[in-house]
Amino acid sequence: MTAASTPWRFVTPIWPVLAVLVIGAALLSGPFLSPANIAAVLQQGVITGIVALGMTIVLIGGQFDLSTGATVMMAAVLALLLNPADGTSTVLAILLPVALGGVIGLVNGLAVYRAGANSIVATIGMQFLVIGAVLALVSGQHVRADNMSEMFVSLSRARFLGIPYSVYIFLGLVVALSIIMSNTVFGRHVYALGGDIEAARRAGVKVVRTGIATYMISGMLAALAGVLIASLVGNLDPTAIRGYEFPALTAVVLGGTSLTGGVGRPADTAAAIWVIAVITNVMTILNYQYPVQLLVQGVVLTAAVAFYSWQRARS
Amino acid sequence: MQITLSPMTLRLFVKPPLIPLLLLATFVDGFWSLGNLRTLAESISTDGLIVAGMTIVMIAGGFDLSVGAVMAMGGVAAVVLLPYGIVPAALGALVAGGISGFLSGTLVTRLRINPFIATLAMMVMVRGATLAYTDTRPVVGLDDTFLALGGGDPLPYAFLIMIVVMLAAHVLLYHRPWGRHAYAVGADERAAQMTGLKVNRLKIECYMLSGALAAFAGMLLAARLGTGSPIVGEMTPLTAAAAALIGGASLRGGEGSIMGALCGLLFVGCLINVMNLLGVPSYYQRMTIGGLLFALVVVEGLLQRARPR
Repeated sequence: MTAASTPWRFVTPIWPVLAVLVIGAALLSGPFLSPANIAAVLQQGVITGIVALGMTIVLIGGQFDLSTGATVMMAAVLALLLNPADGTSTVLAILLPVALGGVIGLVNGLAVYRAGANSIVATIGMQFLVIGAVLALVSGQHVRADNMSEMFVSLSRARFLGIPYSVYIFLGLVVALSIIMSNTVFGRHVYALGGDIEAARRAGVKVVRTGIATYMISGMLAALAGVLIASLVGNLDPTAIRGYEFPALTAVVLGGTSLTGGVGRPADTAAAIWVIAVITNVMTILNYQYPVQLLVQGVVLTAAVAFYSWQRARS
Repeated sequence: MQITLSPMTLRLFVKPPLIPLLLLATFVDGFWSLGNLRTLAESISTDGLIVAGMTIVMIAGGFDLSVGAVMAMGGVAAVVLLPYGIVPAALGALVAGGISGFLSGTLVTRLRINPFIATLAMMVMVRGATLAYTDTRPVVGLDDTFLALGGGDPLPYAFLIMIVVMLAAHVLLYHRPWGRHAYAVGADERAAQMTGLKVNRLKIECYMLSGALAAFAGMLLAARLGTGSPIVGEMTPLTAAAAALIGGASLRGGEGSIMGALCGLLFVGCLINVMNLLGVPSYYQRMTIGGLLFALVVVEGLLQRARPR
């Protein structure tokens, strides 16, 4: 129960790391602290961040969701295909992808919690199933939406105090999920699942229902991230948006969520997202390309896993 | 009425339904043509090396998601080292794969990281390094001896190599102490440790074997394609896992066999081949492999739940 009773314990190792990185980045490159760049860093983390929040909830419950990257792609393509030109179609273009994301989460949840499937392999299978289905739907072609409504575009483009709306959506989700995870019965049950699933079952937690709910949250959040991408670009090559699950997983693990479940906080995942966003931003300013960034992410993930497993072995 | 089937019948007709699939394939134009059988043999030979490695890792209770990235790295390494001769090229690929397997194994054993996550991280690092080194472009550097390796008449050399590797792996697993130890470690790691087996060392050796085989497969693929591409192998870990699972390996370790894996490999290979012949777009193939893997782990989960403990 220690995990569930301390979700608001404030300083976890990721926060000092974030502070040091921000100071370091500011000292290294002058333009880093310009308002435009700060807004860019905040926005850079939003899409991956929303995906990572959902994966955090699933992982606190002790399971993995690697189908999220495919769900992001599905939602982005579907939102554009629904062509959000007027009020009704805009609402549909937001709600339908999110609902379908929930359905994907439901199927994952049933497979993992009902049938007892290995969550990593099952959700990788789901990832390829969804990517294949989406590419088949659009025959691998670009999708574009003409005359997107003001409202749909404003989701990611409009700014309040110089910061895009999507950043506020992300912050709102962080706060909401933090409250849900630490102050509600559902949240405590998720921590219980990840702590010891057998004990949770004996204590009367509805294991299957709670577990399925974590996957549905993850699927819906990933879909929301996809809708935000659609609103930002309006025109996309489906094969180009993929692989979101990996940076998101890196952030989840970097934020200190235990790979065996029961430990973790949405706010720490957000801090880790900004750590990665700052690193990526500085690497982009210093002109390092995607492959090197991929390599660095792999190293960061390995180092984070090693650090936390060492820390837990010590205590 | 209880119907009992011999293990061999079960393997060929039901799990996987290999013979029914082959009979159905007869109705597909050109399946039994010599040209197509050669294509089939070529396509399963590189995957076959990887399936052998994956099966061994799974028997010892692990998993290797990095095989696709290591395959790409092996192909690139071989082509880059080709100017020094074909033997250094092959050795270079094997060593690169072995090192990556050693790192995976070390992450899994010494740092006690979940094998899926450890090899996922390894996959991303190897892929990133390969892409960075090649600047995301295929490397070329053709050499007649090397290209000849991609040919072979009447049977492709790669296919013969795959058969030899499968036989060696079978002997290793069934007739050498090392193989029996691998089963013991996968079935019950603590018990194996208590009987004095060097569990960590054995697991690292399994990952090194898988890495070296994947890199060697990458070299054979490069010889067939005439180029070392840094982007090949995205689907490979899925296909290999599906073949191994169909062949009786389990995600919990201690189960599986090379003969089973061979049947699984043939099944998946024929499935993809038939879809190619029917002109099914690659998206549907991706869907099929993904759906197959999803269904396999669901069935495995249900079976394990039903089994008394």
